[in-house]
Amino acid sequence: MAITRILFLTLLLLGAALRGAPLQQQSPTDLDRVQVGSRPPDFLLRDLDGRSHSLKQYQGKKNIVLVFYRGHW
Amino acid sequence: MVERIKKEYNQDLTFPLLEDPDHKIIDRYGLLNPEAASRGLPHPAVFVIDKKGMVRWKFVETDYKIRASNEQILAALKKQE
Repeated sequence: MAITRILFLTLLLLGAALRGAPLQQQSPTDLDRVQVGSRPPDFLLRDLDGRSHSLKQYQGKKNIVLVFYRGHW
Repeated sequence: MVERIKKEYNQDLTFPLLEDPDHKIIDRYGLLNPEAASRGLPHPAVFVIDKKGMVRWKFVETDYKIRASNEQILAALKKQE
């Protein structure tokens, strides 16, 4: 298995701050929300070079490892 | 962090690092750590998503010191080949 066929998407949290508490229909903390066998929420986020990425753009092309990385300790 | 990786492994990153500065995606995935909400930090999580766009494996942990191992992730990926 070639690593090149796998796309690693890492979400890096940089300088996040909670600016008040907006009304939300869903709780921001629900660890069971995304289940195995389900389609995860798509997104459109920029990488450090300013290029946009979404899950949909890789559909049919690559398996994805999506990592929510909060930094090391 | 990117510079540290480049220095330690003597190579550029081979995958994109995405920014979620307002933790909108973290919230959408339900991963916001309530104990670190003021900093918008997620619980550590990994999702393996197949070419059809479906989640085939997930790892979510409330202890920030416990992370998915490379072996666990690779084993999940091998099942997709």
